[in-house]
Formats: sequence, C-alpha cells, structure tokens
Amino acid sequence: MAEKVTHSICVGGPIAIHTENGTIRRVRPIVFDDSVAKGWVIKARGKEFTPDRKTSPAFIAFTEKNRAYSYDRIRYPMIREDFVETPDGKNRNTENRGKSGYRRASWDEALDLVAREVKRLQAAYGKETITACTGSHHSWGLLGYKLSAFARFFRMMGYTAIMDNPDSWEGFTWGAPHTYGYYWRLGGTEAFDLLEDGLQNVETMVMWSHDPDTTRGGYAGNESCLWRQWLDKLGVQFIYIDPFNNFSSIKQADKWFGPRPGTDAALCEAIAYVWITEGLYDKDYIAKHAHRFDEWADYIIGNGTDRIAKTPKWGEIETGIPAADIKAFARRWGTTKTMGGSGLRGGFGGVCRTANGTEFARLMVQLFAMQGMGKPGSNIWSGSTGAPMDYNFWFGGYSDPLSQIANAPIADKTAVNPVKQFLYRPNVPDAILDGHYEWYGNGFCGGGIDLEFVEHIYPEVGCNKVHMFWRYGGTFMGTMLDTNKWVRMYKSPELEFVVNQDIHFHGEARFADVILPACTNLERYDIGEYCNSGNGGYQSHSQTGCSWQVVVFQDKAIEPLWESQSDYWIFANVAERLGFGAEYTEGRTELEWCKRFWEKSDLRDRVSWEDFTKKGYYIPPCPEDHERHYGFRWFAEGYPCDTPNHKNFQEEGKLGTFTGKFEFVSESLLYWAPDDEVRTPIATYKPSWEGHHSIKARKYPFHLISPHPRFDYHTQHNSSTPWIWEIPENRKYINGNPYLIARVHPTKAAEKGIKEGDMIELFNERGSVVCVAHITYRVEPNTIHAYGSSGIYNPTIPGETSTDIGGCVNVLSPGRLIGDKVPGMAPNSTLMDVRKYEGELPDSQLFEDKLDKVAFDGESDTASCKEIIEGHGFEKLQSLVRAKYQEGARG
Amino acid sequence: MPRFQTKNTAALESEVTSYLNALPAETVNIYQIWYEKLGAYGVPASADIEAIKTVLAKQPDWEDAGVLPNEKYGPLPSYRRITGPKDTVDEKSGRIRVQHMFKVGSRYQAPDGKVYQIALAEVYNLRGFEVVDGHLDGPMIKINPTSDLAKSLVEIK
Amino acid sequence: MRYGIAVDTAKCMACYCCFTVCKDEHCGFAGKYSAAQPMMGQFWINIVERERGDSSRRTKVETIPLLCSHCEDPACLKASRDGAVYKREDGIVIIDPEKSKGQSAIVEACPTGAVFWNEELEIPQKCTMCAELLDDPEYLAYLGDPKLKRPRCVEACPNRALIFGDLDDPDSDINKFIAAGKVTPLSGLEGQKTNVVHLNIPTVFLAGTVYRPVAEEEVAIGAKVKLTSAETEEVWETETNYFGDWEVEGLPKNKPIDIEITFDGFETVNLSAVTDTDHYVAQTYLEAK
Repeated sequence: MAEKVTHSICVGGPIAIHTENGTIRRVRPIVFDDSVAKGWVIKARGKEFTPDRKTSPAFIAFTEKNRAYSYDRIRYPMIREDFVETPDGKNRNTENRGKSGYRRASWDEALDLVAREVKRLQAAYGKETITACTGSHHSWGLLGYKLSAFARFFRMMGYTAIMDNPDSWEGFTWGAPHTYGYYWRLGGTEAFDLLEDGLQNVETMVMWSHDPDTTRGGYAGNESCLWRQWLDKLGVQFIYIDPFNNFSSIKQADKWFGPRPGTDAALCEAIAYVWITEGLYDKDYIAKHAHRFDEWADYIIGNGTDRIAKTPKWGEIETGIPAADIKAFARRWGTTKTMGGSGLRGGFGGVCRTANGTEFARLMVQLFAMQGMGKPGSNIWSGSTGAPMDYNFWFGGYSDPLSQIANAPIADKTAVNPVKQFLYRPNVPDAILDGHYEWYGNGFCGGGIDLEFVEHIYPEVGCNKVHMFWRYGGTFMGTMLDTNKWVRMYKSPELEFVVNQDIHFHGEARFADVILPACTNLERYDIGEYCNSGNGGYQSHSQTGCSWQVVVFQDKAIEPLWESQSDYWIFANVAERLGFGAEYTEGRTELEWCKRFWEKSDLRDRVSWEDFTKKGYYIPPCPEDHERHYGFRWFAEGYPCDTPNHKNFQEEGKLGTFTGKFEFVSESLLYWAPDDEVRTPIATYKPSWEGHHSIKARKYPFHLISPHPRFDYHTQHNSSTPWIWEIPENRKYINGNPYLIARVHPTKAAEKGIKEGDMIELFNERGSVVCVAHITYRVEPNTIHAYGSSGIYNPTIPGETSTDIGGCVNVLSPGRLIGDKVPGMAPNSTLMDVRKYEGELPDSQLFEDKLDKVAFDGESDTASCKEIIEGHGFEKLQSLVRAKYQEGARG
Repeated sequence: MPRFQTKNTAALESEVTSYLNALPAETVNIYQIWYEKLGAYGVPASADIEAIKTVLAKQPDWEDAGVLPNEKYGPLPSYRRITGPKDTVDEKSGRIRVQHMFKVGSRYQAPDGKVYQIALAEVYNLRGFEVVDGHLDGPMIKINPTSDLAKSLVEIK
Repeated sequence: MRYGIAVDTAKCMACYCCFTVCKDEHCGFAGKYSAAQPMMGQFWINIVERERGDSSRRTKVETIPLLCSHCEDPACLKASRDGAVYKREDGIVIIDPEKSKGQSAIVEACPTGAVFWNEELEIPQKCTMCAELLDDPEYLAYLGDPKLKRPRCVEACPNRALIFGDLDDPDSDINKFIAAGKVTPLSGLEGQKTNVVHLNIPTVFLAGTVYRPVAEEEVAIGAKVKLTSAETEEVWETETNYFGDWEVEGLPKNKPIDIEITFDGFETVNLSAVTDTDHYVAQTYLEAK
C-alpha cells in the first residue's frame, strides 16, 4: 500500500490529498505541523483570539476526489454523431445540437479537426470570427486559470474576446464608484485589518444581503465562521436583511428583516430620514467629507422634486417592514458602533443584482458615510475579510498580470490579441442570433470610471461576425440571463463550429460539435495561494478572508484519468498544429511554468523550490507586531492612504470620486451620464422594471431570488456529487434526477394547494423549471427562493427550450441589463409564478445514455452512470484505475 | 453653495495657485481643479475651462504635458510640474506617498546603470524587475521606499 | 481511555463539512471495520436541520449533527446475535460487516436512527468513529503529532463544534468543552450514558414584540415580560430590547405558559401560550392607562 500525500487548492479551499496505489483515497483539510509558525493573536475586550492550526475549506473541497472519479467525467475526446465537416461550414445539422449523441474520437482526430476549422474560418472571415469564453473559476492555480493558460492561447491565436460582466458585483461596480470611488475594487471598499477593529470595537453588525456561511468569503472556505462566533459571544448584535432568512441569519441573527425584493434602496432612504430628522449621524464628518449632502437630505425629507418624504411609514409601504421596526433599526445603527455591508467583502450581495442595484449600493455607502466611515468600529466590513496578514509578503493572485503565463515577466513574451472586436458575455446569444449588438462599458472596468462609458458595437467596424465558439469550463445555463437563448444560439447555423472543453459533461458540453476532455487540478501541476485574487481589477487582498496565508504547490496526485489532459496540454497541442506551439510554451513544461511563479515572487526568498515542492505548501508567518493599516482609517483621520492597493490620489487624502469626497450628488454621473434614468445623479429608490409595480406583476406575482448557491460553486460541484443530492435544503433525488429545492411561504403555498415536498413548476414567459417545494417562514411572502448557479441542466426535451428539471432557475431571469448605460445583470428582478407540477417525470438525468455509450466504447467493463451514482460503480471505477496503475508500475 | 464664478479672475488665480502649491502630484488637469478645488457644482462650461486653462498656462513651474490618460475623466489635456512630484512625505503624519514617488509600470535607473521597472507600489512595499535587453529578467526585487537605493533612483521618461 | 466526541449544536452552522468528509472516507471504500458506505441512502453522520417557529417574525433552526452515539449499553448490541455488534475497550461500538448479515433488527433497535440497512449486502451499517484510522500508526504519522489523529468529521469542522478526546481524562479538552455547555441527550437516549455527547440542543422558545400604541409607530423598549409555568412553578423574567422584541429559550415542553407584559403608564397585557412547539406569540400593542 504505497501512500503519498500531496496538496492542492480548489475554489473551496486548500486540501491534503492521500493517494494509495494510484487512486486517490481521501481529501482532508491541511492540518499544520510544528514547522508552521504561530498564528496571529488578536487582543480584544480582555480576551485573545487565534485561529485553529489548519485550513478550513468549505464542504465542496471535500468532494474533489469524488469529482475526479465522478459518473459525469468526460473521458475521451468526442465528436457529435451527426456533425459533418462541410467545406463551406453550412448544412452541419446544427439544429440537432443539444440532442445529438456523441462518438468517441482520438485526440489526433479531434485536435486535427479543431485546427482545420480554425484555419478555414480564419481564412474565410479573419481571426475575429473565433470567440471563446470560460466559466468564472474553472480550476484553481495560477497556471491553469483562465487569464493565464487560456488567455495566452487565445490572445496568440487572435480571437474576439468576450468581456465578462461583473456578475457578482453589478450594482457596486456600476454604482458605488460614483459615490465614493473604489472602481479599482469593483465598487467594494477595503477591509484591511478590520477583523481586529471589529473584535475590539463593533457593537452592531448590519448584514445586508449577506450570508457569510454560504458565500464563505468567496474562495475563503469556512475560515471566517469562527470569527463570527467570536463576535457573537462578545455580545455583538447581528441584524440580517434579506428576503430569505438565510443560513447565517437563521442561526445568528438577533433580528431578521425580509424586505420585498427590489425595495432595499427604499429601506436605505427611510433610515436616512430617521437620522436626518433626529440628528443621529456624524455631522462633523459629513461637513468635512461629503459633497452636496444637503441637496440629497432635502430629497429625503420631502423637499426634493418629488415632494415625497421618505418616512418610515413610506418605507413600510414599499418594503413590508413595519415603520416602528425601521425606526428602531435606524436608531440602533445611529447610536452604536456599527459595521456591516452587502455580501461578502461588503460590496457584493444578491441585492446589487437587481434593477435598482446601483442605487442601493450608492445609498448603502452613503449611510455608512453618515456614521463616520473609517472610525474605529464604524466601517463597511461584513465579517468575512480583514484578517491580519503580512502585507510585505508578495505572492501573485489570479488576476495579477504579474502572475499569468499570458504576460511577462512570467512568460518571456506577453501574448497580445490583435483582434479589436469584443462581445459582452450576458448577451452573447443576442449578438450571435441578431448579428448586431451594442453596449457600453469594458466589463470589469477596474481601470477607471471612464471605462464604464466606452462604446462597443458588434460586429466592430471592419470586422466580420463570429462563426466559431470555443466554450471552456462550467455552464451558463444556471448563471447567465434568460438562459434559454443560449440553447437557441447553439442551434443557430451562424455558429458553424462549436468546441467545448471541460472536465465534466456539464449543461453546455452537450451542445458542442467537438468535446475535449480536460482533467481536474488533482491530475496536473499548478501553484496558487488560498483565496488570493491579485491586484488586477478584482478586489485585491481577498486572502484576508482567510486566517492563514497559504501558498500551495498543487502537486499531481494522479495521472490524468482516462484520456483527459490538462487545459495547458490541449492549448499547446492546438497551438502546435496552428504553427505557434513553440511560442505558446516557450519550451517549458507545466512544472517549469510553476517554478516561474516561485521565482518571480517572495516565495523564492522564503523557501527553496525543492523544500517547497517537497512540503507542498508554505505559510508566511504573520509577525506579532505586524503593521496595521486599517481600511478607510486614513480617510477618516486625514493622513495619506497607507493601505495596500491604493491610488496615488488617496495619498492626498482623496477618494476616487471627482471631488475626492463622498458625493451625495454624483459629479461623475453629471459628467458622464446626466440623462441616465436608472442611475440618477442623486441615488434614489426607483421601483424595479420587473417588480411588484410593473404590469407583469398582474400575471406573474412572485419575485424570484436566486442568490449565490450554498451547495454549489460556479456550477461545478452539485452535478458531480450524488452525496449532496440528499441534503434536504439542497435537492431531492427522485427517479434518477436531483430536483432543486424552491422555498415558498406557508400562506402562499396554502393558496396554491402546495405542500411540503410537492413537485412544483416555477414559470414565466421565458421558460419553466421543475423543483421540489420547501414550505417555510424563512421567505418574505411574495418571494420564491431557489439557488442560482445550478450545474445540473436537464431539459425534458434535450436540445429544445423545454422545461428544465435540473434546477436552472436562471432560465426565468430577464435578459435586460439594468440600464442603457448600466450594463449589469439583474437576475434578482425576476417575476414569475408557481404551480403544482403534476406532469410526467423522466427516469434519469436525460444525458446519461450519451456518456455511457462513449464510456463503454473506451472500456466495455466500466460502470454506467447510474451504477456509479446508486450502486457499486464507484468502487468498480476505482479498481479499474488501480489495476491500470499497478500494471504501469510493474512495467 | 453657489457655483464658482471663473470670470472672477483674481479669485480664480488665488484658488488655482493655492491648489497647485498644496498638490503633491506631478501632473494636474483642468477638470480636477474644477472638481477638487472650485466647489464643483455640475460640469464646467467651456468658458470655465478656458479660464482655468489661462491661469494654468501662466504658472512658471508647470508645463503643457499634452493629453494624458485619466481614470476618472478619460484622456484629457494635462500639465506637468517641471520639478516633479513634491511633498512625497506628509508633514503631519510622516507617512510616505509611495505612489507619488514611484509609478507602477514606469522605469527607473540606479546610479550603477541598472534599470528597474516598478511592478508594485503599495504602503511600504515597492517591487520591481530588472530590465535587461527589454526583458523583465530575474527575480522580483524588493526595494524599501526609504532606502538609499530608492532615493537614488531616477525615472526614465 | 474512552474515546468520545462532544457535539455543540449551538455552534453547528450546518456547513456539511463533517457530512462530506464522512462520505469521502467511507463511500466506495470498504475497510477493516465496515463495508463501503453506499453513495446514497446512508448518512453515518447527518445534519438534522429543523426549523423552529410559526411566524416569519421569529424563526430559528436547530442543527444537530447526528451520528452513532456509541452508547455504553447499546440497544443495537442487545438486538444482535452471534457477536455481530461489540463495544471495544475504548468505547467505540462496531457492527461486524460479516457477522451481522441478515440482522435487520439491529437497524430497528437504534433509538436515534443512526444505523442504516444496506439492501444489497443485507447488513446494518453505521459510524465507526473512524476506528481504522485511529488504530493505524501510519495514518497522519507525517504530521508528527499523534493528537492530530481524529475522526474525519471532527478534523473537518471549521467552527469548533465537534471535539474528540479521552472522556476518562478529567483535564482533556473534551471534558472542558462538555463542562462549558449544557448536556442535552438525543431523543431516545435520555438517561443513557454515551460516548458521543450532545450539548445545547434547544427545547422550546416563546417570543414576541411589544409596541407602543398603534398610532405612535414605535417599539416599546424595556417593557417587562414575565413568563410563568403554573405546572412547574417556574418563572422567567426578561425585558424587551431595542427592537421591542422579547424571547425566552429553554422552556419546558408541552406546558401552558402565562405571559404578563407590563410597562409604566400602560395597561398590563396578559397572554397565554402552550409550549407544544416554538411560538411567536404576538405583536402586542400597548394601550395607555
């Protein structure tokens, strides 16, 4: 029994992997031995707080072994059975995409076909005719990340890049910078060292649209669970605001408010009314740091152009929260040291992905400003970031241009995309189907406020349309908007050639002409740091969401299974066929690329490559007297910004707004978009364009909220792991398919004759999804809650925009962006209805037969999908793999 | 507060000069003066822009820098202080304005001839790579912004 | 030396780490002490989430990690034949995967539902407290500290809700942990001595909110709320907080409770409730005297 222990990181956190005889035996958290230095100690209120000596990954990290051997792995390259390689790209039976079966192909056949198609299309239409995009975080590691291996390949080849919309941050990215800057942090503020500040000072935590025990600091696993336990035990009051009494709220809230979806901005205004009329805000701070506050205050108290006072009673009518409760809340906030914010890191939250998302974000920031933001115990800090760290230890994060193989200095030569045409992710199907699309903004816009207003048109002047789509990792059916249009897009003959590169047979794989099997990061080399997002226009220093800084050598635990290969190998081999193989690889193996990241960072000074790869991880100690640089404290106290990731004007005591102050009338909006109706110079509550005031509400009276999921991550985990399909808050396994749970209030359920556990159909004019009902008091009565990001997509009629039984509730969401000049998605502004489902239920996941066929083609004695899920197929798989390993070991 | 009257030349000159004297940065533009100093009520009119431009052109230690990119306003005509950034240490708190001293992406030469490209400038943490034959060679180099090496670096424009 | 696990249900946030690592360890892998746990249908550790409350005004959830309690006097042992179930000296209760064939009575006997029937192999199965790992001197030897060897569920818990250790050592962390909490046996195990000890399982709460007269639109802060159980002669006194909310946890089950709300200058309010289940009793509007 030969055992080895290797390490890796996944979106759930860092793990230790035990391998025996060539098969992975178990996946554990990384538990530290004595060689790791003492952890930080925070002294607060007479106590000392220190974390456990281990990493605390989320439960999804512990499914990694299962994901490697799962029933839905793509094992061999596959080609669509009725695909025809016609010389003109037409008549290829594209209308059958999604329903056709697949045949097994060799790597050579598959990659030769891909290369031929690339050459043909480039010759016919130019480099811009190829487009490609990835999921948000296919696989952890600096080598394999989309801005690294994928970006290097596609930029070198030349392609129409697809800009990502800032999906998790919409209202904050497009709104908050116009109030307080921070566009380089997607509208989120800086949480440096605020865990210490909070433990020492805070009295009230306002968790607005925030479920930290579900969203887990982003990629920070369960690290901050303990921090909130500490705060709770110190007597800190937790107030949660969410139409769903979420999983953190239900255990921890001292008070839960469930506003009607889309009305949070109204709640902000009612709170402001109480503060202004009762003088419960920091007047000196506002006098010094706010711009045109009085004009906004006038609007709040009823002297604005609408002549409506935003009283608590007015707030009650909009939100459903009693006026007396709103007053009590406002007074608690206004008279105690309060921290809080929206979503993990304070500038996220489902609330910002609504029609009124920008206005909520701006108003929320304004409220914190009114209470002296940056003073001790008074800040935007939502309890899931801001741990002590050694800021002087530098290791790259995934968005750092300095840490991507697409760029020097990691590569010798930076890859530059010659194509000047773009697409915009949420509406790629519209562009392809309509042959025309216009939009504003460069997607993430971390580089400047001006980037929000860059005009784009597709096709770009002088460019041809896109005819080839290369899709990589994850599935948008559960995460994008009005996702039935992706089905229509795939079936269109406009797309002459579709490639899908993925580990598992996810929802979009089955629309491809050629499927290339990628391997998990347990089967290849990589290197990365726990939750380190880097400084490239995301939110830097997100590793402060972790109790430890952990850099991991993501060693290969096993060889790639079946015929899968690393993404890097796939790109290198296609590049070779296209004549830029040597340029792409620069002669390096994957392991040699990993060493570059060690070499070009502080890691080199701390540990040798040999020691690092042998131990498998490095944890920089956090010095006891580590420098504190409290987030936003510099602004409150008036000295040059001393927090990492700042801008030079912050060193002059200024925020990133035009005036350098909090703008209660936004000068940047008056300059850039004075006529914008959705995001007005004074932030105001406006009824949602798909909300309870709209015409549609007469027919579709329920709000759907589909927040970031508890039991999945970027669509990648639920689909592969049957273990979690029986968790009652997640799914219910009926007849071979795991149905998603949808939450309904008891009163509404009774009206509709729906009981606990009933099959229900969520529907509107865009589509329908069958779920299982959970009747609960934990939802605001007019709200149906069903988690977004479903990785399981099972249309009852494959290849058609039919009812989905996999739980992709995003099928129901509007394709409309927040506003003409606000190109953000608003899935939480969805209206729909719900009814008992009494139709037929299929007896499987509707695609297993396609996979089984190809699996048996490769290995006739392998287990079927159903056997792996329900029977002893998993053991059968493992023993086949073990036998092959032992055969190989013998020679 | 009423909108600033830029046709009041004396008041305008006084405001602009005091702003420029207090400004630690090396570059400035017209909009920034309007928004950060002159009270900023709405977008400046073309007459306001002309008036401020006139005052800037008269400043002896500021020269025309052409159109420079700007993250807030987009690319626009800018001016550069001939003597470079000043007040890179804040008098009151003693804290360093490290990003004023060193611009990310810019190249600096040491007395021994070595050229460094700055990759990171945050807090007291300055990082760069040595530039050899146009390539960013070798390991990431840590420079303390208060060190002798840092003080001896000269920007290559 | 008795191995034990203490479970603090108040700290448990239902993160499902323990649940998942147990599956990771045992699904698809047979060991010395057990056949493989099937991929679906069995939960050697489960999290039982039970929503509490009959109103959106106040809802809570009880989260109980449920695993075999490794009882001192196991009911499953009593129901078994031929040595199919035995208790080791260190307290771990094992169901022999071969000797137990056909003995479905073992499943029925367990008062907490912690034993599962494997249809295919016709054997009862349950948590082994990762005995095989604990016994193995090689397991985690690379960490250099034998104290780091724990059952998988305990190791994975991020919130210090599960603690493992020697129940016979008075200075052990597990005994300190138990002493700091309230021991609350699982339903069906009252009066039993078990190696797995559950803490802080709630009983019943009553809650409400007090407002000043309707027209004022204000909460009443500091109203006195007195609960009395005539049957048990117990009294609980509390005050409304800054939201006007009051709540009393830990009430005895199935008792009628009288509630008296007093606030200077206002008429006393008398309410009643029964602790058959958790209730949000009322939004009470005071009336001036």
